[in-house]
Amino acid sequence: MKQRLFVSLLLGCTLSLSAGAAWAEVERYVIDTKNAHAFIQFKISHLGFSWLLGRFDRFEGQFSYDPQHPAASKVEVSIETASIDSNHAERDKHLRSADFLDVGKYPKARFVSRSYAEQADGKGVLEGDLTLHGVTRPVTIETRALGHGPDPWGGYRRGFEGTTRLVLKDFGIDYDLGPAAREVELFLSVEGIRQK
Amino acid sequence: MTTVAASASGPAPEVEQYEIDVGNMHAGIQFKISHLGFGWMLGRFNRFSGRFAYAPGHPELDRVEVTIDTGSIDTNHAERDKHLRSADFLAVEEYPQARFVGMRYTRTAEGQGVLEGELTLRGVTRPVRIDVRELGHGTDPWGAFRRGFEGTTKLVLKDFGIEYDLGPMAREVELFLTIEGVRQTEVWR
Repeated sequence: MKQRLFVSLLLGCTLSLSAGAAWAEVERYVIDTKNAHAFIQFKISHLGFSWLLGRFDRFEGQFSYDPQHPAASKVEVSIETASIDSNHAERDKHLRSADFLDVGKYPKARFVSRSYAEQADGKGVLEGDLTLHGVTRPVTIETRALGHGPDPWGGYRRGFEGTTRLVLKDFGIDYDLGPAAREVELFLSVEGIRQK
Repeated sequence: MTTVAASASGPAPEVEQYEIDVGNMHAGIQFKISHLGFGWMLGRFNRFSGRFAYAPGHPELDRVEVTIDTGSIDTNHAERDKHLRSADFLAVEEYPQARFVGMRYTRTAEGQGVLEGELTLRGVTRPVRIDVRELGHGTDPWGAFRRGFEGTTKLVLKDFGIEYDLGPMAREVELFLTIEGVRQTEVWR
């Protein structure tokens, strides 16, 4: 009886220890937007002749990553829609208007992950919900783990890139840009600083 | 006989001349360089101008000229841009412009090719090769005729005298270029 109690105590102890250890493995990162080591770029066809390239200048976010269980990783990013920047002030004004992002009414876009699957080669698929222009839709981002390690300033960093496509109409953006411009391609790059 | 002679001496092929539409910014010069292997630093040049000549069926007559205002570098971080403009990188006071002249376009497949030319950056002129994709051409809704391309290339920073140590992952910068030209009725020169 005594021995049995001891075993179960020991077992309980080990279990709670390993649960604690697993918990400790989850790394939490803040995306380094302060030093702009993260980017949200987009690309959409201009009448089939060229690309309109742009970015969002202001956003913030965080992610968690568990090297033992990458599938448990989570990401949240919040984007200031008015910070759209296509290197043309008049066009940006139009993109902020009710014809497109309607930033007065929808000042933020938001991405919250739901699942993540990572292969041994670092490529992965991140699924989540994007809220844009007041519409929330599932999106799938193809990702690649770029690297991780200590930085020269005593911190520890981890970064990813990602690509996805959005159909503008899916998010209630109905302005007719012609048949070549129904979809916008996104290129994302995030570098996080691990939190203590 | 006459027909053969005419085609051998050749009627001068029609060369279309285009101004790159930077007024409405239907063009872009973007770059991408690794940040310590953890992330990308993405940036662009906000001010540039240029023109190109395109001769359908005669790629040897194609020509591109682009001038870039180096001080217009923009990585979405004012302090870093200041550093990139300094003598550590672009030395924009001494070298306010970069210039690309594309002199030889070779079509490698339908709708794509390689543009060979010379890039002058930070006072150093070196040959560069740009992989090109022909995007499209046609009349725009405002009655003008447009033609556009995208291109990618890589530059080794040290080749252009930029020696600042950004670590082993950041010896090269990748460029993504897109240009859309509006066809000119007036011929250059």
